[in-house]
Amino acid sequence: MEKIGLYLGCNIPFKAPDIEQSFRKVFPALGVELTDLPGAGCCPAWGTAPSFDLNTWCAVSGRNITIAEELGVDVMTGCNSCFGILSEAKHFMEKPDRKKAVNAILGQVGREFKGTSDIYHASNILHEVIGVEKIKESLKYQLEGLKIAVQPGCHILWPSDVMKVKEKNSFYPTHLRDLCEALGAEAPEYSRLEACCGMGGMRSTDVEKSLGLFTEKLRSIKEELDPDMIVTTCSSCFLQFDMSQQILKERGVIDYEIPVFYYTQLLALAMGFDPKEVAAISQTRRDGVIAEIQSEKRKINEEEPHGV
Amino acid sequence: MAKVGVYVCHCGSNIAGVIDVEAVRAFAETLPGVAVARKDLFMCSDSGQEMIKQDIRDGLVDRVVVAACTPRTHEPIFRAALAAGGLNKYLFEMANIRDQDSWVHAHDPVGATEKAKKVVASAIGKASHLKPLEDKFVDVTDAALVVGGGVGGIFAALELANMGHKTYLVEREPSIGGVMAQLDKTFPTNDCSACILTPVMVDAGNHPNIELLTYSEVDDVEGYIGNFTVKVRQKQTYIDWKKCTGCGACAEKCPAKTPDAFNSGLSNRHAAYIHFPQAVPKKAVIDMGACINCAGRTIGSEPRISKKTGEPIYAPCEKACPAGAIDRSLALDPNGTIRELKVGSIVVATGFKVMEKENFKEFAPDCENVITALQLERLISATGPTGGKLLVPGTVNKPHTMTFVSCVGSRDERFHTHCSRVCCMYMIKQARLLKEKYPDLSINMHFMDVRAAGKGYDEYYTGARAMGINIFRGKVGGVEKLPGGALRVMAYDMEAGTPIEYETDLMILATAIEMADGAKELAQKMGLQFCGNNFYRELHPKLGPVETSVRGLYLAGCCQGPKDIPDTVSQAKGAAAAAAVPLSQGKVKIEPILSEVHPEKCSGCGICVPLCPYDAISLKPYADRPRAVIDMTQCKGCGVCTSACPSAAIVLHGYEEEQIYAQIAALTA
Repeated sequence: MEKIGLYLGCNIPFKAPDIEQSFRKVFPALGVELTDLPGAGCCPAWGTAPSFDLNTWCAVSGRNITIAEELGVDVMTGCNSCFGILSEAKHFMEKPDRKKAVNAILGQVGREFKGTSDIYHASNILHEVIGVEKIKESLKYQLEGLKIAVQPGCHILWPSDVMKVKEKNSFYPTHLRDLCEALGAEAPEYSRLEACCGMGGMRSTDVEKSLGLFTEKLRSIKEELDPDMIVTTCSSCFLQFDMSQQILKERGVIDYEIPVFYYTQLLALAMGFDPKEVAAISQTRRDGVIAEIQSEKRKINEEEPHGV
Repeated sequence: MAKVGVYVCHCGSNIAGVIDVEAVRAFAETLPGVAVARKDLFMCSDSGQEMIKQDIRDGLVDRVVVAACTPRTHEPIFRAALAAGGLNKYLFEMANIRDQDSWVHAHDPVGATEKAKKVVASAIGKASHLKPLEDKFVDVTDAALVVGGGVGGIFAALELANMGHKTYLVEREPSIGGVMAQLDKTFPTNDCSACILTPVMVDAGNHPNIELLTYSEVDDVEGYIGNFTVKVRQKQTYIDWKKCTGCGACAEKCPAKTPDAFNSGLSNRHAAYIHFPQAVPKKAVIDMGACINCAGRTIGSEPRISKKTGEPIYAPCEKACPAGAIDRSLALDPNGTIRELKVGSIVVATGFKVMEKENFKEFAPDCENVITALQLERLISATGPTGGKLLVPGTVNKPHTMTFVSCVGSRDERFHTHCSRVCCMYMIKQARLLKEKYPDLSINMHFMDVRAAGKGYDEYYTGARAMGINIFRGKVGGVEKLPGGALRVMAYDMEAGTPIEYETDLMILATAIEMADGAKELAQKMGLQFCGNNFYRELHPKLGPVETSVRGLYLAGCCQGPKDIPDTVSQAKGAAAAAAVPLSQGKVKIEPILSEVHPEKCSGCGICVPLCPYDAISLKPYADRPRAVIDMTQCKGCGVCTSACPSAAIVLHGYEEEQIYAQIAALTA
């Protein structure tokens, strides 16, 4: 069984622990063993050290990566910010001068960054290591006839130079669409697919601008696709889509709401896991679509060989 | 004992701003053999040169060292001064204290001054041992070669031919014409490109002194100025051009199709094809890469016999040709034929290509409604795939809104840092032509800056604004495909300071000009150098814009750097004039910095023969045994044979052993 270090970050355990639960269900079931990284800290988030001091950023990121190095595993994150931060930090530390400066800091806590562990996003592992075929074989419910608007998020797309797994063209990403289509659903292209959802630094500094970007994106989704749900592989995007639809609704900007899932939540539901464990917390209502996903008519015939 | 005169140059502040010139002069004065040591603000000025001449005339000096800029540009100037003063011009040595000292050590004046002293001492050491040498002359083949049959190559060939020199014009496509033949109209006068180019192509085709070698490529170049031997490969046409009348019947009947490069891939052509309607020469070729060998008629096979009629079954192209120029039974060599040409000078005018849209991921390269500016040129040309109607390729509708994006791949560190120079103007041209033809069409143009430097160019641009064409300053960040085929442009308007978004039907990318395919290979064959932007390097950016570091080789057009048609034609005429100089002189001078074998010392071992990179050395009988002989016309004076000779029988004039030892002694003193 493949073994990988699970780097949870902050948003998932604090704001969406059901996403964490979905990881812990689906990855082992698909043959990837998750190893916890004891003592892992903040990645550190974009608005902190990365905004003012490169060596400090690399030292904090480097410390997290050394935990995986000691265990001899690669790192998997579920949050795009963590993924971007750790990937970029590792890229910076490939330069000997930077590595030396960072290790001088890490030496004070008895650590040394070696560069032996790679950084992956959960989406990378699902798409490249597990693969869509294995996902298809693991399903208990198929999602045929459901339409999904995908939201890969920015930090899994750019800067692609620093990433182990790259999209063919980051401006027109396909990995998350492939993963959704593996469930039997439809996941068409739409015009603002790769656009920012407005989360991140903008959400904390200028809510109105953030909501402006979000509204534009949501409109493209509604007008071009009118989907049954929005599916993302970024915990920050998940939070924005989940909470900001409510704000727009209260303000009367929109008169609809679209259920939002983190991809592994949807996968876990399609694999038959209990929604109370894997998809329990959201502001936007998901009961209806969850019931639809796990409905009798969608059950895949047990007699059919699975070969999991 | 030699009497060396040392002249140290300030070069304004170029040298004196870093190096203590007086200290260098005073130091030189103390060295053995130095008769006088002087300095001047500019040694290359009239007064500076006169100083040298006077010292020679006064009998003060018989060897000259100038410590100054670089021999690359100034050695010929000072050699001429020596000759004018009455001294053999090879009794001169230059100490490079600018390019290799003051310019590179500007931060360390003390160290630079010490280095200058050493460099000057070394030059004095060598100068003391210099010997007089005489220039040599060889006869010239009175013929020229022009490589590339675009507008630059055509004009270079015509100029040379009009001066009375036999000129070969080599072009790799089946017809001459180049990129200009693909253009619709030309800025800033809106002349029809074909209307002004076609007569010139015909002139070149009919000129008694020009021999067109189209569908041909340069295979190999040997020799030197005045006497080049060039191997040209004519690719296999599979059609007998002596019989072909250019009627096009074979193309009409040919069922095989492939993207038409002349229409920038916007349409298909047949495997048997004529390059374009106004082709010169108007001859058909069969593109074997696309040919499907109808009726099993692979080249060199016997035709099958029909069971019904008993007649042989021929391919449609063979049957269609009224001139009998196609016979697929002939075992034609797919490698074509090689022709050997003897020429005295060569003009290289190999042109450029534009980047393909596939390089630009942010601009939806897979979308048919995003095209390059060259593709638009074909789309609005009367000989193009739509007969000149502007139709959006993806929808085949007339566009309501269209968008131009400048600097795509140019001025962009990811691709090319250079400005492609012509894009601003041709985009404005395209926009103006379209606005005139379709007044309701909304045209948005996005520029980093509008570069309209040229006669009548800025007026052309301001005219475009007055016509109601929308000009935005700022970059386009990306484009998104919308349902129904439209595109959403996402850009920045620098003047308003805001991001802008709008929907468009057709997007035109002004992609960068870059070196033509095969340019690297040709450079290797000819010894051409590249500059930082991957265009051929001219001898001097200001004073030698058509010459190259290889004597007898000249440049014209976009292979030397992006330029428009007027600049290309000007440079082509300049290159032709320069290329004609050795041809009209009838002989060329060869510098005597060459290797020579002392036959009495040569053992005839032959070690030097395979070492010579220029095949200049052969073994010839001398007295009782074979000994090495160096062909002066082939020798480049590299010194490989001199250093390898175990008998020390080969001397490299101008770099003799005692001269080099004297330099080393001075440097290590």
